[in-house]
Amino acid sequence: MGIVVHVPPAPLRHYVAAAYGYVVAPLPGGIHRGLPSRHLTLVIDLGAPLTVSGLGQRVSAQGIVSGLHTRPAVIDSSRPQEGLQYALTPAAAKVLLGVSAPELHGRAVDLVDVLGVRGTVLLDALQGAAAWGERFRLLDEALLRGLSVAGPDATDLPAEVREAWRLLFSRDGVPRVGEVAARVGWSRRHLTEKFRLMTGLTPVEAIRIGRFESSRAALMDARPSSLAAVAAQCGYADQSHMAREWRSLAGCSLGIWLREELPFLQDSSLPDAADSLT
Amino acid sequence: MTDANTLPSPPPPTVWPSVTFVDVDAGIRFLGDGLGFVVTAVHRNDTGEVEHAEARWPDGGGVMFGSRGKSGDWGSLGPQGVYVVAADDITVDVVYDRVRSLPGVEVRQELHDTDYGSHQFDIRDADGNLWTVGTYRGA
Repeated sequence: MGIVVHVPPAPLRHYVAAAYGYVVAPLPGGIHRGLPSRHLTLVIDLGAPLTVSGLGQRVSAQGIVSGLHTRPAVIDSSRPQEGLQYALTPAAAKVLLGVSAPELHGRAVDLVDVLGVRGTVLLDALQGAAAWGERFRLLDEALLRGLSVAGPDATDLPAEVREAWRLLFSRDGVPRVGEVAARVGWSRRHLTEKFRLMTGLTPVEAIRIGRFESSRAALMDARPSSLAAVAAQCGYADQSHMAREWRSLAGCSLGIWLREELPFLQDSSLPDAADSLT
Repeated sequence: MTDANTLPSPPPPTVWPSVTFVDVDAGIRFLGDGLGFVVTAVHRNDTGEVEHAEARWPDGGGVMFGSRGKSGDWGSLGPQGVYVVAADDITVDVVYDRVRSLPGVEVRQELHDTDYGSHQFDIRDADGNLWTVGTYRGA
């Protein structure tokens, strides 16, 4: 049981915020909730196909890509699992996978539907690779190939959107959309349109996700003294505000998440990738 | 690192061959499930004909396709021929295994290695288009 952390080669580091291999036992509740975060997720399981529901159509596949979302991805965890998981930046979707972040927004899709035969070849090769080093190399190579197909013209998000992204996910207090728009020199409306066009999220959704990430990190860090303290620290109006947001974004009460998922996450010491974007 | 001041752009300029299918839904399965293209756009008119569709080849480039018989010059095209360049031998092997089992697909040249170093095969799809998939990248 455990986690193998991987550092991808330099050209990928701008696009892959976190990369790790996992070997996990079945969860007691039989499901794992993939919580909203600022990253898209690429998961390849080397055992039986993964089944993910809650994000658009239910999908069952060896490799799954999910876009940014504001509802939980519900992952069947009733069997032991072993595989690779990469957290991707919004720009990575287009550059590495050939599909834009907005196209993937709120959806989980079969990797083969995104990469075509390149995905099939990758999955076949991974089935024959027993060592973690070899597995990461194969996946990195497939992503690097995407980078080379996209060509030198493939570009990142506009500077204003990147700066807005940084500000919206800042942990120095909860940002306001109007202030962020002013900082990047756009009207609020223009920022909202461009931001959604490039990332799939609205600025307000980004703020909700950022605050939610903070509270999740605070809860995982150590058993906090009180939920009220975490709520205050993360910028929620009060504890019941945080509870409502958790119910909406995690799809379950905070209490259920703390009971069913937190002990498992602490055991496997899942890396918190939230700080490593761009 | 790339220039951050411009919008994400479409793929680099390349050549997009155009093919037509009598049964365009079978054509979509042939391209996607068979050859391993990623179908990225399908636009139909009121009668269900595909006016325009695109499929991206994961190693670069792609084809445009539509219903054979749709109005205009492109709809009156007959069967075409397309050479698909794969990045490596394994891709050719995987595609060969997948595409052969589809209905109506006829193998014209089994998988072989040419004297100019290409690992390739030729097939004809159910609507008569001729496809070579190989590793020769051009002179």
